[in-house]
Amino acid sequence: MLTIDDINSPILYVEGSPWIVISCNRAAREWLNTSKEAQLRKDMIGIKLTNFIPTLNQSRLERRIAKGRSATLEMALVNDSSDRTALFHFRSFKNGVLIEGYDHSSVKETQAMLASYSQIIEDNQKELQREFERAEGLLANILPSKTIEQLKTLGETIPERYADVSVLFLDFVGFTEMSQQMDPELLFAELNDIFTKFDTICEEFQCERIKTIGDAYLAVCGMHTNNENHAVSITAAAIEMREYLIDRNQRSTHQWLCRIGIHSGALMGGVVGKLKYIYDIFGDGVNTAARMESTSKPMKINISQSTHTKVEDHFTVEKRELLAIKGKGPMQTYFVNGHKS
Amino acid sequence: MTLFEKYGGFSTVSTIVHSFYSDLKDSPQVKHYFKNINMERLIDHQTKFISHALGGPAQYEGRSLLHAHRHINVTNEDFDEVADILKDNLEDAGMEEDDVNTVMGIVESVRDAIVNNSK
Repeated sequence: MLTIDDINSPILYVEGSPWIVISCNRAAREWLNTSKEAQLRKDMIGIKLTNFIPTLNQSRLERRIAKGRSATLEMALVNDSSDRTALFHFRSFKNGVLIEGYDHSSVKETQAMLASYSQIIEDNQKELQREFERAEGLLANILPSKTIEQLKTLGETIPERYADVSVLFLDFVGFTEMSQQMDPELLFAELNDIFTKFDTICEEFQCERIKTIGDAYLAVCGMHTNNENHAVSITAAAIEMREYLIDRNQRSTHQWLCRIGIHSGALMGGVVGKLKYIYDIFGDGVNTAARMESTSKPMKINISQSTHTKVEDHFTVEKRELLAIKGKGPMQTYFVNGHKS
Repeated sequence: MTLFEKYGGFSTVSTIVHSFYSDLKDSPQVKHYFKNINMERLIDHQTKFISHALGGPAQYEGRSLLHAHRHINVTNEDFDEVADILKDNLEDAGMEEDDVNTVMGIVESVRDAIVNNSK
C-alpha cells in the first residue's frame, strides 16, 4: 500500500491562522524539521508552520490563493548534507492549505548562470559605450561637429562655402636643411612640440588648425565658430606664435624661423576621401593665403589687403612694396609688427 | 539607476517573466489567449516588455504591442487581470511599492494599444 511517506517530495497540510501543521510526510520532516524545538518533539504535527518556514508571509499567500494564482515560496535549505533550494506551492485544499515542495536547485542554478551571462553582456555593453565615446572624441578632434552630424545622418558630407573667413599659413625657413642636419627623431619631437603649442594658441584665439603638411601649418578662423572679428583673432594668434618662437629660440640650440601669411576671403570646406576622412579647405582664399606665406620673410607676418582692411585698427603694420603674385598680378601686402597700444 | 539595475538586472527579470507566464496560463480569465501560442515567442515578448518597463536595455515599442494583439479582442477586464497578475509578481520579486507603481504606470500607458484594437 502506497503512503505519502513513500513520496520523496515534501507534502504538508495546514489549517488555521496562523497555519498549524495538521499532517505531513517523511520528506517534509527531512526538509523542514531543523529547529531544536521541533526536533525534540520529533514531529511537526500541531506546530505553527512559521517555526519551520520563518520567512512565511501567510496573508500574502492567502491573497494569492484567493485569486486562484500560484502562491509560492522559495527557501534555501541548509539542513542536509547538500544545500539546496526548495520551492513550496500553496493551494486551497479542504478547510486548509496543501503545501507541496519541489527541489528548485536546478532552476536556481540556471538563474545564476543567466545572471552571470547577462552580467558579461551588460559589462560588454558598457565597454562598447565607452569605446564609442572615445571614438566620438577622436572624431571630434579631426572633423568639425557639423560634418560629423552629416556623416552620421546622411552617410556623406556636403562641402560648404564660407564667404568670409581668415586663413593662416605658416612654415619654417630652411626646414629642408634642418631635416638633413638634425636627427630625424629630434626634429620630429621639436616640430611636434611647436605645433602642439600652436594648437593651444589657436584654441585660445578661436582659430582651428586644419592640417599640417610637413613643416607647414594651416589654420582658419571664422569657419565653424561665429566670429566676426576672425581677421583680428587670427592675426593676434600669429603674433602669439611668433612670440613663442622668439622665446623658444633664446632657450634652444635649434633656431626655428617661421614665415606667416594671412588672407581673408572665401573658401570651400569639406571632407575628402572615404577610407580616410580628412577635412580640408580649398579655394581662392586658401591659395592667396599660401601666396602671402611664400612672399613673407623670416619671422614676419604678411597679410593681404583684405585682411589689412579688417585689422588696421588693431595692429601696427608696415606697408610693403607692391608684390607680383603668381596668377594674381600686383598685390598690396603688409607686415604686421604688433598690437596697437 | 534604473529599476532594472536596482533589482539585480536580467536574472530578476527572468524570475518575474517565469512566474508571470505561469500565472497567465493558470488564469481562468485570460488563459485561453495563451493556448497554442509559441512559447518561445511569447517569452521573448514578455522578457523584452518587462526589461523595457524596468528601464532595462530592451527597446519595446508600442507598435509591436499593437501588432502582437491585433488579431485578438482583448477587453478591459482581460487587461486588468493581466496587469494585476504582473503586479502580484512584481511584489513577489521584492519590488518596493513606489517602484511597482512606476511599472504599472508604464503598463497602463499601453492599454489603448492592446484593448479592442482588432480590426
